[in-house]
Amino acid sequence: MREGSGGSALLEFERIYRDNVGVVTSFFARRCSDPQTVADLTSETIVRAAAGFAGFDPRRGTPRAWLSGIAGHVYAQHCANTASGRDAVTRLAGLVILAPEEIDELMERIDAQRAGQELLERCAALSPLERAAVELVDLDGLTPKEAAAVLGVSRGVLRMRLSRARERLRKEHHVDEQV
Amino acid sequence: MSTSKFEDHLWREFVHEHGDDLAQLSRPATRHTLRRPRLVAGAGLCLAGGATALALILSATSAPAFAVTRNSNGTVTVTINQIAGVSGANTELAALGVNARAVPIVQGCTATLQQLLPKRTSSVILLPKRTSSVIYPHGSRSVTIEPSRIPAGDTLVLAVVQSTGVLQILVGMVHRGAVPRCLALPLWSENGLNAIP
Repeated sequence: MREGSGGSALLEFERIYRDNVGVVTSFFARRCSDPQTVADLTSETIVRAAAGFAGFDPRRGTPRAWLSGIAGHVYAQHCANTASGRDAVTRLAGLVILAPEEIDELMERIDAQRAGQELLERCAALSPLERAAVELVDLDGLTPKEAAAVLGVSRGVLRMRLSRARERLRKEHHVDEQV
Repeated sequence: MSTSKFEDHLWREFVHEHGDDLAQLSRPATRHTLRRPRLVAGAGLCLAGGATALALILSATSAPAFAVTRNSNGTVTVTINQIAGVSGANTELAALGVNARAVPIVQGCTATLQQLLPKRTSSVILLPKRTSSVIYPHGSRSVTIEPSRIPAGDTLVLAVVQSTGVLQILVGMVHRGAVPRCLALPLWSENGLNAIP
């Protein structure tokens, strides 16, 4: 593909963007209640993806898994900076100025992810790996193979942890209903 | 897949700021070679986004995997361009008598950043912001250390992560005790980076 063909990388990146940006936006909408933060973190993820696009090899993982991994790192850094009282997205300030209808749209996205937020809250007792597996597969729609690539574990480990996590969530949900 | 107004807007902004550079990018042929393009410093295309400079490294040339330099004022500047440079950087730091170690965040490691966290969280230095008198970051891959300010018996740990070809010195922290050879990938959660409560 593409070697030396001017503009093809941009076209390819646009296809990846169009196919997957919704997953990225939803990932942040589950975690942030501020539309501007969702917008900034989504933007940061896309910029970082572009920075690494030269090295992206689709045989080593799908675009969705690749972007999910970047989004995870972006969010981790955002939280780390926020926890220390610093603004993680300062360097992106002004990059995306949202129109009122875009703010409304992102607010709707945040509201739509409320069920996902609740599921994440229910996952609080799970291990970080199990929690991430549930989110990537059950909320973001990644395949177990893709999720395993994002989390850096084998497919077998991912499937085992996912199964264990779902079973635990089912049991807890059952107990909640009985109470 | 259809995109929303925000996502269309974001794409337009992205193309406006970075489209020309991405359009000129040569992607490796995927069917005939497993070799990834080398990512090294020196040939990055710096793209300005409003008042903010966003550096996109889209091509590669040859450059050292690491550099450790003693400065005239006694500080030491550490630059790591590739994960492969971590070992060499650590050797140089040890040779200079600097109690600092770069530790790669890689898949398969069991040690976590959380295990290294000191009780006094002010010792955790999140990069690339300048927050400490011990360490000064320059961009994402280079930091200047003041060795004299590292408490005796402690080690300044620089957690280095390479994601999708982009290397970043993510966290610096003063740690007392054994330093692991590598650290686990940080997983995210609703509470943020597991290592940083």
